[in-house]
Amino acid sequence: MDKKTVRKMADVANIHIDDNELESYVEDMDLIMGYMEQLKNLHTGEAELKEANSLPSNGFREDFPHISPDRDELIKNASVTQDGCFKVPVVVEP
Amino acid sequence: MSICKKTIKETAELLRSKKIGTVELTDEYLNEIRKKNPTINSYVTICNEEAVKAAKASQKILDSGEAVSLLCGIPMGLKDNICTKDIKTTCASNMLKSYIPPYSATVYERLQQEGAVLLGKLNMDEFAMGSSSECTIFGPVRNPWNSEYVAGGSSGGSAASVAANLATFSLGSDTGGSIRQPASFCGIVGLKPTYGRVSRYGLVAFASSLDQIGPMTKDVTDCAIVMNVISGYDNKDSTSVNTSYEDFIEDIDSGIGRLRIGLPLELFNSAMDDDIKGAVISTLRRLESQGAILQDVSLPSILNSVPAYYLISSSEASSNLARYDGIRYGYRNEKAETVSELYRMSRAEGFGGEVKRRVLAGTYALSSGYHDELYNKALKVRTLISNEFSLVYENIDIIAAPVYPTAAFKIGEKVIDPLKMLVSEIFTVGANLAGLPAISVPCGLSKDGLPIGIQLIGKPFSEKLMIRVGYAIEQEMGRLEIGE
Repeated sequence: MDKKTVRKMADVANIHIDDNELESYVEDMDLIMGYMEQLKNLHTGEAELKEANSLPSNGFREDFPHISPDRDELIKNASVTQDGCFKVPVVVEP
Repeated sequence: MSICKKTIKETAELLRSKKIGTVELTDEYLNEIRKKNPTINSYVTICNEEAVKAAKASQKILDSGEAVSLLCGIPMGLKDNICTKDIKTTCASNMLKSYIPPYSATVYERLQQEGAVLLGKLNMDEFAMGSSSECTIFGPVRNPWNSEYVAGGSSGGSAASVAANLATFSLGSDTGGSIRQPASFCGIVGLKPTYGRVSRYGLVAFASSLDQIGPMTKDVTDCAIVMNVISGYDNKDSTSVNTSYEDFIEDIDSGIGRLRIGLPLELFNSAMDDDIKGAVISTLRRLESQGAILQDVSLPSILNSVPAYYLISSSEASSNLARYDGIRYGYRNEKAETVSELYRMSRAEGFGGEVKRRVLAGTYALSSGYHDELYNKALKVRTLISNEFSLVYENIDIIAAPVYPTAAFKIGEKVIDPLKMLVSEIFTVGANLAGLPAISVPCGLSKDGLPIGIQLIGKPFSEKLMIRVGYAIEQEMGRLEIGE
């Protein structure tokens, strides 16, 4: 695990890391992933990939008109709204 | 004895015989919280008005004479990752510090329907990532047995509140041991149900294939009472399993007969304190004297359970926590000039260190080039662990093991080393990976006078048997109470 890899992972995860924090993250990630990598050489034979213990079933509801939740109630936790919409900074950078 | 020391069953009897009313009972608990919470720090939100209002409603139901659940009028606390409509739900994170859910978790709705009274929301490790309830924006939870020690985690507030008699019962959540370990550290009963037994709708997700909500109670009977209410199919949770109704209290005292108890060699040979091993073995010998048959069993792949758990849980967490973008809810960086900067800065400032570490680890494990050798490998290990448990259960009824290698440790002792706490989770994560039910029941005290729990792991949907065995242990070993 090196600075370049940690920076790349932080970019993918959309988490900013300050330059002065980077070294600490590299150390921690190196330790943790070093421990996890013991699995790499483990012989697992023909074992299948087990993603879950109970297979999820889609929860379909009856298709009938009903009152939707109140929009203002649903967006009340947003910091910045305008005209019932979530407001964000510029999306397409010039 | 103070009313707050009583169990659900004892309190329900007092309410029905009118020796106390629900509002008086709730006031007693709120007074105890005012006195003790500044030290123990188990509650992060106290619902004074809502609690009294709920208590009054419950009193009306009790006075009407209609048949009601034992939970009617009983004061409870909920871990702060369980959504409660119109009541802050923070997950002990800066990211959700001001979040007020517009809906309630199914478990809360079911408890409300039975008339349980919510006293408040309970402290925890941030987003349930931790084993000590020290990684929280609200400060650590202190163990009611000794305030210099941790209460365990991540459901530390849930455990401490029950142990300190600041709630008759609470709910926690368990992804890798987060109900069982704090229950063990605080001397109470904690049950992680079979995956799919209790609805996860309204539980803020950490690792969706591992998370389960479960009861944390003063004794095993109370655990059964709560399970009767919270368990059962929920069509809002696509992983909820539709099993037939079970009364977990029924036959609780019918004994253990010739119960075959498996003792995994790999776990009993793992490093642990002498007093942990001593307490667990001594308890098993007492069960043996009642007729149980102890058998050594082998779960070889359990030795790889911790790295497999960490990879799977971090990978799922990196996906689940991608929703926190600072836009629809949660912490938002106000200075960002582009939406990309908004995401990156909001998440950097909203999440704590442990959460960021796990999200980064999960991102790495799922990334191109590492996906096969890390994440997929972990899934295969999960299969091996599940298969080994299934094989063992062909010849035994239940597995017994310690909960944790030590009793509670001192606040600050392990928090600086991210690996030290993780490797200690070897006793608990196997049950999560295999989706099995597991319970921690108090069985003794350490040389420092701190509680020790014994863990039982059962076959899928065998909670009734586990509760029966847990009851037998409790009858043999007695309840642990602070100061006695």
